[in-house]
Amino acid sequence: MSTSETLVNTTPLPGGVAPLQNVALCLGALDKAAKRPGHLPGLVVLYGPSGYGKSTSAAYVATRTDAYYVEARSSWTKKAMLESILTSMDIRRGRTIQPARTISAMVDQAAEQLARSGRPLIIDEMDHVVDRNAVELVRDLYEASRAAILLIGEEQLPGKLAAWERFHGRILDWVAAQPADLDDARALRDMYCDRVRVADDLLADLVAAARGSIRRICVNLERIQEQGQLDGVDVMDRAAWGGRPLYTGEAPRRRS
Amino acid sequence: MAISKRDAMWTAMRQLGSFTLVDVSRAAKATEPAATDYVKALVLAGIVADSGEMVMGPRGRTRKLYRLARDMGVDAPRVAKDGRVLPPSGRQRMWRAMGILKEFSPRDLAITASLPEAPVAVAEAVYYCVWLTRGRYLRQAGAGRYVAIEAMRTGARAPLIQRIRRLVDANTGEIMAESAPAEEAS
Repeated sequence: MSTSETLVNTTPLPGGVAPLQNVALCLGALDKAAKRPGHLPGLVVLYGPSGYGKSTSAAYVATRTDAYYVEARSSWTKKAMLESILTSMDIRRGRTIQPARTISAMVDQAAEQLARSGRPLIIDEMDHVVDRNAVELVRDLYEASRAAILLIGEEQLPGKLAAWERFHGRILDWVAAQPADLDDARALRDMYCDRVRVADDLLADLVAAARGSIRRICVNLERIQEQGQLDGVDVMDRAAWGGRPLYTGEAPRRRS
Repeated sequence: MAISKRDAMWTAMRQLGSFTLVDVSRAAKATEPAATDYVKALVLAGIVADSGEMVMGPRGRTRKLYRLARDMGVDAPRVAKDGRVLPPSGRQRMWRAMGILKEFSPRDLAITASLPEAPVAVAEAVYYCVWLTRGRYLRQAGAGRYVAIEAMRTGARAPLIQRIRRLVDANTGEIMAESAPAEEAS
């Protein structure tokens, strides 16, 4: 029966492993973008406050999809942006294939590489691209390659992109980054803790201390394991941890 | 700048479009067996196709003409002998992941760079971090954590650890002898 496939979805995550919610959301959206019918757009946006593990998710996603990754900077000119993208593709001075001379030829070059390799592109800190009025360049790159492109930015990114109507219409999916929760922490525990088990009660404290950040959970899982090894125990729970401070990152910054 | 034989062969195939094994080995300064191995694997992967034509090669021998069926771009495809397309190496995946994570433990690196079909061991991540710290790509930041140095992101390719000892003439720069892979303890 054909419905049985849809009733129980036994398909592993695209690329497998890392059942973290933000990673799963991004991989799902990128997979949809990669397999979309021709008339659908292929840009995906991941947005959310800093500290929600967007870059950590990007690292997982880049591995699973073999993506090209660039991080935008406030100082980026159009040329610097394209050079950066080309460098991520190993097209740079001193190599067999050198970057083209004009902006428009560089767009063609980067687009050709995206189209031929079939690999997606991830642009992190996309807010800078918007601030530098280089959004149209990303659109050109997309139009010329039709590649799946993941744009990562802050909470305000969707609002900022709304001003670029022709760009906005090419976005297939908006993924709001989710704060790391207990399920994420359990998944991380499975991946990180091979020496000392971390009990659920301590894990819950850890989620609270992490305030949504995957990285802070990972740092704490490593510390707890080290402490457990020092103490010679197999399981660390709230009682065994005994109220030692957990890593919480820097003090929360007040929004201006 | 050192590029691998496979890179050179792939670049030659892209430039030539259609080619014999001799063409590839000559253009890439590779041996003919090396060209044969790579081209045959690419044929099995469906990236290169047998054109069905024969052309006259050197010493009056006829040679099979191959053509590039799927140009995959600048990177030489990583294919196994049986034509399976392989993912980038573990070190290549770690190199990319550390540029994204910026601050990490070797375990973070191993986990983010792992693929289900090609996991990266924590020990391998530790080994790579130690070498990259020696090479000033990373600096240590507290117990067991590292920071990637932005100015040392020199390009897309992961720094290589060559497991050979070499005798180099300091006057001419020439490599006079190369050892077999050393059993260097990490």
